[in-house]
Amino acid sequence: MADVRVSELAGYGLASVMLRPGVDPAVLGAALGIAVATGPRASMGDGIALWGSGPGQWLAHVDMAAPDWADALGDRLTGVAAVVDQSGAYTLFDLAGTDAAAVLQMGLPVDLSPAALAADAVVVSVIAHIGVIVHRVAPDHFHLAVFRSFTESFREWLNATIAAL
Amino acid sequence: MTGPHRLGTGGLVDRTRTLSFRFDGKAYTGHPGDTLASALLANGVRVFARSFKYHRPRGVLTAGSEEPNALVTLRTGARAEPNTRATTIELFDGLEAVSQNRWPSLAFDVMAVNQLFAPLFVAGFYYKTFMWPAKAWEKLYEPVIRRAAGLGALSGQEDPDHYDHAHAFCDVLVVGGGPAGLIAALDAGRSGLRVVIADEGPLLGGRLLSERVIVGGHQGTEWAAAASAELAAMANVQVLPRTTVFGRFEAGEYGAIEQVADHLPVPLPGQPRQRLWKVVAAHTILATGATERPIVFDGNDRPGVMLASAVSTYCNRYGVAPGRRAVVFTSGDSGWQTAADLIAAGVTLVAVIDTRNAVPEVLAAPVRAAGVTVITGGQVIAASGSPLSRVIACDAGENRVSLDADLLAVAGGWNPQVALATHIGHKPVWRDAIAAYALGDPPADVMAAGAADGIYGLAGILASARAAAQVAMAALGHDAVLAPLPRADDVPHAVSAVWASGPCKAKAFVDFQHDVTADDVTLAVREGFTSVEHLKRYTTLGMATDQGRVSQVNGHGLLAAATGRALAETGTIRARPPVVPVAIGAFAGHHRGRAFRPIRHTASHDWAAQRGAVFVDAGQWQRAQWYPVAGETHWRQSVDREVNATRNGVGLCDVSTLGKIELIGADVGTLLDRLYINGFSALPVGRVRYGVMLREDGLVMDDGTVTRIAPDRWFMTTTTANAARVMQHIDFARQVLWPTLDVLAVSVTEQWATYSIAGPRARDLLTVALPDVDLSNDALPYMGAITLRWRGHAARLYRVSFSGELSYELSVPAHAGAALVEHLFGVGAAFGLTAYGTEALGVMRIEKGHPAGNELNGWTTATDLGLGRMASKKKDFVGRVSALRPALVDPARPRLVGLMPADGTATIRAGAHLLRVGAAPVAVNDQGYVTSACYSPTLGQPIALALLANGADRHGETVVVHDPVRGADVLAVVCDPVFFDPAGERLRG
Repeated sequence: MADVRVSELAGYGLASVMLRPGVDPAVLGAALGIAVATGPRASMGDGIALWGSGPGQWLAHVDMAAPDWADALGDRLTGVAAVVDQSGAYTLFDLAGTDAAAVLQMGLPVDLSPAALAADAVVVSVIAHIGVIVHRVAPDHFHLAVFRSFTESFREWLNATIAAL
Repeated sequence: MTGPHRLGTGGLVDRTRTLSFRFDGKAYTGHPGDTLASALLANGVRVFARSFKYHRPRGVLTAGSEEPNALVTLRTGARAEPNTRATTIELFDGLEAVSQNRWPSLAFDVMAVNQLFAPLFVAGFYYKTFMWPAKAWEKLYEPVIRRAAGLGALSGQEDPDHYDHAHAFCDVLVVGGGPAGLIAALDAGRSGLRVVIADEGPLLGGRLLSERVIVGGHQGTEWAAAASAELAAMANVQVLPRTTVFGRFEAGEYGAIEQVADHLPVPLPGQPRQRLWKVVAAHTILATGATERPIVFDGNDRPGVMLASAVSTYCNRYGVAPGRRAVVFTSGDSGWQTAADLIAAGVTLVAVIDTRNAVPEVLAAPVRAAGVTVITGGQVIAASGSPLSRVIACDAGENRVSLDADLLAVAGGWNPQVALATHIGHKPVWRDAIAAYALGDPPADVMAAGAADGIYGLAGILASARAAAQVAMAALGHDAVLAPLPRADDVPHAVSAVWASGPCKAKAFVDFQHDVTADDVTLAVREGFTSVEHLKRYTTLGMATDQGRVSQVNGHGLLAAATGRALAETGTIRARPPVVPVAIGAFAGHHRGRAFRPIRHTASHDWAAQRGAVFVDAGQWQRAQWYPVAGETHWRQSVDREVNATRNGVGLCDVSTLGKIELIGADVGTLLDRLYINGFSALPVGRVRYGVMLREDGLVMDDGTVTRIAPDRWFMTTTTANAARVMQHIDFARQVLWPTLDVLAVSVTEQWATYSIAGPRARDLLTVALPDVDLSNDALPYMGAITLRWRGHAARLYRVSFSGELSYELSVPAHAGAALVEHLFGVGAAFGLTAYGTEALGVMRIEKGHPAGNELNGWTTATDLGLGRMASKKKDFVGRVSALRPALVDPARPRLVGLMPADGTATIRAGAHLLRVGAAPVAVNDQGYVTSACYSPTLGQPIALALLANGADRHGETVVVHDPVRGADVLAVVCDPVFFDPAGERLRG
């Protein structure tokens, strides 16, 4: 029996954060009180994380979000970055356990060894032909953001993979 | 004892357990650790199969995955797997296998008559025969040939098992778990590198499992087991037994197939039958060993003629004597090891025949001492009997001897297995010292070690593997941690290049699986096919599922002899993946049946499913097509009801699948001006505008709406089909074409669940559903938009209409979508709210003459679709210049028109072509075609949209709708494409 616990999170907030032209990421960091990493890594702040998802782009994540949290974030980042609410766009899967990485590695064509992908790393990739943004919360703990419409297909792959492990 | 040929002791089989199995319906027993081949040999079975072309009885030639003869159909029913090598099938209790390519039985095969027609079936026979009459090829020749020359048949049933995929990443990939692979993996693993070691068998050890050798003071099998256990215990080493690396691809990526559950009667719950691995390696060590070569002579395919290494394997690994009276025929030292193994196994060894005149006394002396006849400088002339009963040989003086034997062990030298290194271009080179092709200048990240590099002595193999590991570690900048190499002895391993012996006048086989003979090779040479690649294709040498691993080099040796060239000049072929057959199911993995491709569901999917919606695929999306209710027995009843309910009351359709893009920045209006044919920069906040965008070639790419949410924030919709393409188009435009524009863009297709609420009572319903929102025409006019909150969620309400009715599109975040649709139907019950699907949506848009996917088909211009007047003449836009090309502005181009049946009732079908009345139905008279058609419940008759040459000028004309495949011709009257409410009064209501 594989040691992996899967849950689909609720209440979270996700938003695209796109740096305005000419603005340095450090300005974004200053506005949020975060030391913003510019690569595919998560920058952790007080109650908010920025998952690096592309050049000048992040997916902001909060565990619990009010319906207007993205608007508030946008106001906070006026002139610094554009914010677009994506809380409804993704289903957020939480995978944890000593076999979590092994399960993911079945589908993720990215090296998940801790040496290659440390905690707080972010991967924008594909699993089972489904786009996925992976945040390695800890060595044995991952968040996976999957477009909501693919939730059922992704869940089916996940269940089949865990059963096969 | 499981069979009369089972030795009293020895082997790696578990003699404490007995397994029952059946072959061709007959019951046998074996032991865990047996293969099907070893268990059948133990039971005295000698004929396993019939050959591909001549239907000659065939036995077992090898003990591995290179087996060309003993192909069987494993299992029954839906799990039947044809063409499975008996030499690799791990025995399990209840196993059932049948022979194939024979009728009515393996012992008596009617198609063996093919041997009488052998002169017809020479190389290239199908290029030379059955040429006339051509019509007979498909109906007669091909079916007959396929029936006569074939292998097993698929079950024809759905595969009940499943397959999956996995990825692995490593510093060093070690392919092969023999002595070289074990040492390489141990060295790399102990040094801390990430190692993947894959071996096709269930146990690591390779030849150590088949030979009686000492390694590090232990039996080879024991040392291999200990090494295997040490590797398995290393966290940085991944051991993959039952896994064959079948292909090398770009950037150090390899494909491997793991037989996860093939050794079980059925997979365990949840367990895949096989797993396809993608392994990415920084460095690769090929410890793939070498495959023994047969020697070509008359009757060399008789059941009982076996490779010497296989004979040793059956004796030592499986505790099976493959014969009672054996002859060994060898061209090198290794055959003498088999002779010693046979003597040790208690088999009567009749003679050892070595093609060389001089044989090391250390090899020959113990054999002579056992009373065995030794013939040096000799050769086998023929093998006879089926199965084998007699070996005709001659000595150096060409004196013939006839030897009674039921086993002939043939050792013709070794072919290093370097196919993987050749998959992306490397070509093996000839080495005289080992009389074989091996790696020359391999790719920088690949090394061969041990027998794969032509090193056959055990001590040399271990040293070679260590050297390869050291090279890998040095290349990776890693310090080596090396333990002393285990002590092992080198045994003599000289070999001479002998491809054929005797006259080869009867059937002397080069390629056993494809029945290619020595005569076929010489015939090919006579006919001018003198390159290895031409020889391969003309004779099919090496093109069977064994990839010529056994046969290829003998063929090339005969080719060299026939053309008078050296082997180095003749060369050999590059192999192509896969090294072993791989089931298509393994490549598909999880993606079969329902999971063939991912499915996308909208937020209202479950709600629609509960209402009994019939779904249709729209790309990956599943959309509700219609919602049947009690009493409706035909889809038209449902669709007509849904249209009528919407036109006369209010309907709701989920339109969430439309592409949605949010654009932010000071220059969004400028960008939109350049992307759309019409202007957008002056669009006021709170207003929506329809737009058309072109491709660079001037043809229509997509259409949709743009809403200005705020001065610097815009919202675009695209068609469902073009959502990703338009997003790419925008990103290319803003990042590459005009990077200085202040525009950010992101897809929000998944963020918003959007419902169209349409019909004369739409406003009434929404007034109740959204009590705080002013829905008056002044506050929210046609093509207006507002933002609001619904249950705290951000929401947007757009006054747009695809149906032609008073219509609103209401969007909320997708996680609130299901709640919204429940709310609307809760409120809507009082208004008779009716859910409608894509079919009713399509009917209403045809009634309104709106072009959609059928018309935006990549061949039409804006003018073709009646949208040309939208194009601004005051600005430039993508596709503007190309759209002015003469062919695209030709007034005779097909233009969008409406069609109504002349009799008011005849069905018009999409795809039918249009002809002038009286014109012959030939292509030159084609006037256009029907793009969309439906029955209009609003008009009470069929209607259609069509693209008709000069269509705008032909309203009122009668044309013929020609549909020869699906129905008779129909007369139709050309009309304006807008059938319903042409003034648009309803949607502005």
